[in-house]
Amino acid sequence: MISHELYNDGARRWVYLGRDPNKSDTIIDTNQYLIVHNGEGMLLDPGGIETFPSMVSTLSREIELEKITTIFASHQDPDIISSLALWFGLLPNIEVYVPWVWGTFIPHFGGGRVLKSIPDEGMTFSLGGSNDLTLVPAHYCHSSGNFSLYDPTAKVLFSGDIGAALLPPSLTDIFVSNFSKHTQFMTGFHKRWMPSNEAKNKWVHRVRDLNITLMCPQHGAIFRDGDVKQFQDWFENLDVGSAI
Amino acid sequence: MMAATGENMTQNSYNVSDINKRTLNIQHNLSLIKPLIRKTRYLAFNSKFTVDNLHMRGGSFSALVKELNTIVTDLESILNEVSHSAWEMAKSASKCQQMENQIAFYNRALFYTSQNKSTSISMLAYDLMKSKDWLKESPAEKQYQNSLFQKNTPEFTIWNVILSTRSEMIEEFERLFQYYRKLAKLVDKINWVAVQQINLIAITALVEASWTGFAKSNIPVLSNNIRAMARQITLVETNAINQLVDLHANLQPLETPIRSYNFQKRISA
Repeated sequence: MISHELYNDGARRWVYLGRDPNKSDTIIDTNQYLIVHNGEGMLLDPGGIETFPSMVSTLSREIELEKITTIFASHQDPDIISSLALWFGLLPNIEVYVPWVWGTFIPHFGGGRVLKSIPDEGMTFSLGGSNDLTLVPAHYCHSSGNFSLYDPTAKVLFSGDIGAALLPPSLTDIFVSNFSKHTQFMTGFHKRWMPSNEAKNKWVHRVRDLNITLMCPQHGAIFRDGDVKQFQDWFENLDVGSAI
Repeated sequence: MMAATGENMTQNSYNVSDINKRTLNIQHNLSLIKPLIRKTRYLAFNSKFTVDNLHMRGGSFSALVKELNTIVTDLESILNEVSHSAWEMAKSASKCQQMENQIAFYNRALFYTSQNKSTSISMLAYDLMKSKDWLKESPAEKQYQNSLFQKNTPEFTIWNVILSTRSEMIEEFERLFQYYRKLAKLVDKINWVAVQQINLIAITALVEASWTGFAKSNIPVLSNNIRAMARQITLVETNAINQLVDLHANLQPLETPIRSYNFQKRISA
């Protein structure tokens, strides 16, 4: 698995983790993210059980494992959080935040611990003394309990499955290089996985005015600068829930 | 770097999944006795009814029927205990299986992480990951642990998780053994109660019937039916015993390592 630093101002870092060459062909490729603030770490969608060994190995080059205090799961899918029991085993004091609607579903992945519930309206996280990491509701995009995470300091939006692309194995670049060409890898996914035009447009409306330089999805490539706005326009005009 | 195949998730020397399956098979097999018990109870009731209805001198026969009822009730209670023990044992086996899988993933994480280190450490981690018999302290394990000692590394953290998960798994295996022993005792008890006693009562009833002049009534038929029940229970119970023997064979490779297990739960820096 590769890691790539997306942002670093000395106090705060964003690290991308993904494109795992050890990944079995039977599982979908996923992007994981680490936010570090004043040495304290938080994982965003830490991945499935199969990804765990590579994740731990790659993470250990970026941060002391014991400094990771928080996990945020944007929704309930297995590629997001089926590694839950292994994280609890490795870091017994870690706090795991999940949308409240999934609070009693996600523990089926094991670990035997109570998870922290995120209310529908979202919340902010405390990390290393900062309080600005904000959860933006993304319900029904695609899951019925779903959040994006916005970091106003780094100007990064973690968008979960919004902006996801199913890339062919030959495309390994972690950033979108040509938006128009990239849409072919997103269209089918968004039409099928996103069930509601109304919910989708509400999300676009919520993030429109945010100052975003990087939009980081859980699959596919990261959008930079002008591509973020292009994505919002493209997504707003897409008729979703219509792939069958 | 090797591909993530999860191939080391199944151990060579034993198979938790087999233990689980055999336990559930025993439970299923013994549950087959339940309808037989119901039938025995029904037959006993019929015998008593016949005796009462004929207003004959059936005092001693009634006492036998009463005893049969008591035995059937005891048998039901043993079967409930069997059911509980087998369920606990299967639960325990599932937990062990889950922990075994977790250890496999931690071992893989350890190998991937160790690849950043020297070739010798990386090779030791590879040996550990490929090891099929981690219940025995291997030379690779000792060497690997020594290389981590007093070093606060990610490998150190992961290794400690492996040690503590393994230790929890051993405790769970000990619980599983306790339930197994209890199950074996209960099966023994079924043999004594169901087969020997019911059979004895049926024979006694037959003797009683001819002795007290019921030879031409349907009591001899009923007592023969009760004997047939005892035979069927024997068959079911013999199957259960055979499965218990297989289960013991599955558990045997674990017995010695578990008894001699004295590894550390953690290592400290």
